[in-house]
Amino acid sequence: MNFALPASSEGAALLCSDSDLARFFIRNPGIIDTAEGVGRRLGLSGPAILSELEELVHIGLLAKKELGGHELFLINRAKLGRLTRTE
Amino acid sequence: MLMGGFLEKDAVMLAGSAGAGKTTIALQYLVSGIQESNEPGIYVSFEQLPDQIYRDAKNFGWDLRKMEEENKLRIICTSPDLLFTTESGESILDFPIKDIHPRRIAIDSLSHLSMFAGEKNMRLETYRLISWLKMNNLSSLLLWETSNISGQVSSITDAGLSFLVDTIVLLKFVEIDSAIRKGLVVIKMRGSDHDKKLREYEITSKGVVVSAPFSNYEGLMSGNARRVAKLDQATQNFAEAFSRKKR
Repeated sequence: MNFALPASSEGAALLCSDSDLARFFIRNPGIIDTAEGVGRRLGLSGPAILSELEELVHIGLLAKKELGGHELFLINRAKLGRLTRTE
Repeated sequence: MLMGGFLEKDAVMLAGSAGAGKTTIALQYLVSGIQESNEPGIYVSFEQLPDQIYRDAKNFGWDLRKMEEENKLRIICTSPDLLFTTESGESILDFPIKDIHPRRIAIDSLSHLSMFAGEKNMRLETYRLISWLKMNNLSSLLLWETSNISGQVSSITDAGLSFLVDTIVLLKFVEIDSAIRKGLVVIKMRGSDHDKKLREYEITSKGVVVSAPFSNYEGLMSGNARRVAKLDQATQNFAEAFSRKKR
């Protein structure tokens, strides 16, 4: 892996979980896109990943913002910082 | 070549075909801004994922993740249509701008934007984008992929965007003695003088290095490079040939 492994148990849990989306956003923290756009990069449709995106917003890894009628998903950098900080 | 560098808040188009080094130059532009001028920057990609960009940049010794952690850089990956500003003037770039207050931005690439905007709307959308960038005090590097790998280029873009930007730098592959070499030339630079020569450049382990102008060749831009002897050497050869005594 090309990035620091998260030291917190929460971060490790996210990475080791089945959440490809969580790992995808942690590896690519600069992604700012709609569900459709994120899905396209994973070879999936927007609806197929929407509920998982909402779950990641719920746990605070992602933020959701509205812009010009689009619902955008982006990483919560404060949360990312806590996850990847070494103890 | 630029008589001191790009002018502040200028929109610079960097045009070249696939593999010419546009992305490397764009990253180097941002990294130099951070390391030499303390100017934070944003890199906007529509195709390459940040993870890949971090990996490729490491080859040049640039730790982009660390620069992001220090809030000096943001590598943004989004869909092209989201870059168009809304009717209220909001932009997806508002998020990273609030984060790090950048002075530079590189957009990779306008060619991707044109696929979404369509030929008719591309000029208007590019004009709006450039105006927005200048209003937000950003010096921009806008990448454009040309279709010709080598040979004559009759227009930089096929969307009529050349007049919208302040500076155009063209990257070209040239064939000399059966080898492909890389050359760059400043086509235009509003408000400043600039080098008119086609110079060779190389992508090294430290990034792009520009060297001397191609000498002894003409026709490089047309794709038909021809070796040309230097005039003074030709004159000397002529004089020597006619001064030899006949046997």
